[in-house]
Amino acid sequence: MSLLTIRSLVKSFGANTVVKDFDLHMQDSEFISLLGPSGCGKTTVLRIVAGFETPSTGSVEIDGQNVTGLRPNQRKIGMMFQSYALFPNLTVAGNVAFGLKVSGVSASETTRRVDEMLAMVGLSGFGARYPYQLSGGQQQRVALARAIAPRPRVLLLDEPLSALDAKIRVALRGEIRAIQRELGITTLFVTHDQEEAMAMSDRVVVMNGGRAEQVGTPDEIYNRPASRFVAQFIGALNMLPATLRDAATGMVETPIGPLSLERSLPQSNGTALTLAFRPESLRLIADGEALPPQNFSGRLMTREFLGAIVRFRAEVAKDLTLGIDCFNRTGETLPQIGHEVRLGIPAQEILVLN
Amino acid sequence: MNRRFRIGPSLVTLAAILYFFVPLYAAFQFSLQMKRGELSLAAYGSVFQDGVFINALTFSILASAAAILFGALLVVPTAYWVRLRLPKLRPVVEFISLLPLIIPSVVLVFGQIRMFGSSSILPLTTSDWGTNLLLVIGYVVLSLPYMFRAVDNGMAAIDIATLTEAAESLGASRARIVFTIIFPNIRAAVVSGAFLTFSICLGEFAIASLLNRSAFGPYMVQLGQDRAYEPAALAIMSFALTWVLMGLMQAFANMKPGQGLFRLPFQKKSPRP
Repeated sequence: MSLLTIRSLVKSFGANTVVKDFDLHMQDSEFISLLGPSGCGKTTVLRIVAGFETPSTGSVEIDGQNVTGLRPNQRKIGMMFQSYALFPNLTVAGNVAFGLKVSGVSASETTRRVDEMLAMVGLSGFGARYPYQLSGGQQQRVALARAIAPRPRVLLLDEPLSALDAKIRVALRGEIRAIQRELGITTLFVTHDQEEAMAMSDRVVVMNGGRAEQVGTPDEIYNRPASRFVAQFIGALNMLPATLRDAATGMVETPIGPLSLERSLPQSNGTALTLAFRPESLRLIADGEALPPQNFSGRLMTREFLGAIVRFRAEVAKDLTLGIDCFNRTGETLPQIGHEVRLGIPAQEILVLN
Repeated sequence: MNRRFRIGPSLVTLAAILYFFVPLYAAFQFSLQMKRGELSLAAYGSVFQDGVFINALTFSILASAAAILFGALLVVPTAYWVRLRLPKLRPVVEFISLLPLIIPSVVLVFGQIRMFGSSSILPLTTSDWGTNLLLVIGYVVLSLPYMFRAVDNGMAAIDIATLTEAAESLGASRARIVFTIIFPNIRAAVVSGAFLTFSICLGEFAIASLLNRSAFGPYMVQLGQDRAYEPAALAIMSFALTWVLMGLMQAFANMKPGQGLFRLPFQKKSPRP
């Protein structure tokens, strides 16, 4: 039995339906991210689970109990907000103790648990401070301690890292994930940052237009996208129009010449297809290196130095450019803008989109 | 060039200061001249020795305190609920809260007397406590524009919706949220509203007089008719009280959680990591 079950969820605001027939089954201790562009309904789903919104139809069950009709304060959930939402009038310890006091935990047990939680988030000794005396990262740590102190059944994270600067964001996401694993709390995380979703989650739900486009592990989502939307939304993607010539061998005609996909395709010959592949799938072939079976030429138009990666754009046909990501290896000379280059791609890394 | 430009504003400032302080100084000097040929605090002593003054002041302070309590209990949950759940109703509530500025208090008190007079279903005016209650209700209504605005502004400064959701997710009931989270976070605003309420109630004449309450307002008017020097002394004391209240309002408004009310400039600031 799953710990959090969302069944056939629909939510409409007037004529606008923002969540459409959404289902999700979360296992105990699982970390799932809801990922999607703004307005895709991910926050609404989270708010329905929290009880801040009532679904138009559908149900939410936590640990086998139907909580759809329960008020938020009856659901035994923990929540972190983008804006931290710490109580400004309470100290750090007062904030963490709030949920414990509400649920009637004894004073001695509250003190013990507050100390334990603050130690867990690395803020021992900060108990007497007020939120305005803390940095953003510290405030969000307090918010995490406050959310997990009453031992919630489900932890809900509403873009808790969005307001933090890049370095703290990366550090804190690691800490949140480590604490979540240690305590084994089932966690639903809303984000629009795909790197965050990929790095933290057991499974990712990619949402679009109120629906779940794909539910899968980060690896599945990235390498085997189930739809054109997922393929385009996750990571960078090169698209190439193609016409199927031979379905049995996977031979296609493209603006850069014929390519063999080295597998049979279910479509009939003559079908218009779109081929898609990641920038890191393309390889720059050095002079003298053996040519792979799928290769074509292009002229480098732009070059972006991103540190670990150098990102090129090459014109491979008239009005058709492709992105190429290369590792920045010390001692390796990468071509400059304007150079003619030879590019290769492994056939199995080419996706076929209808 | 700059110098010439500064003359105008300086003159205006000087004129404003004189306009404000000359009558005040005149009243102060007059209040010291009760004894012929010497300056003394005799008028002040006379005011304090009057038993009626002490009774009237005590009564008005108690009535103001009751009005502040009722007003805050009425306005804070209302403003909270309107901001949280009924934002479309906010202009309506704001308009209602401003009505006491338009409707004279005489109209209000006559309405009260008609509604709760001896021949009504609820004859509050026939008992002392009932009439006192009407007075306090009248004060609450009179101070509504100031209390509502102060509290509403206080609520605008904090993210009420998210704080409420955070507290709810931790299991807190609505009443607990209002009293442990919302009230303390708008304390400065409530205190501002309370001081304004206090100063309005202390000087209020029409309601107290027509309800025949021996409050401070009617006492001041009566004293002005009967005596010469004491009203001037009272006026100076009222000014002093108002300034103290304004100072306290400022102090409360600038206060941060965990700090005392009076933090002197040389005291160490709270540590920032």
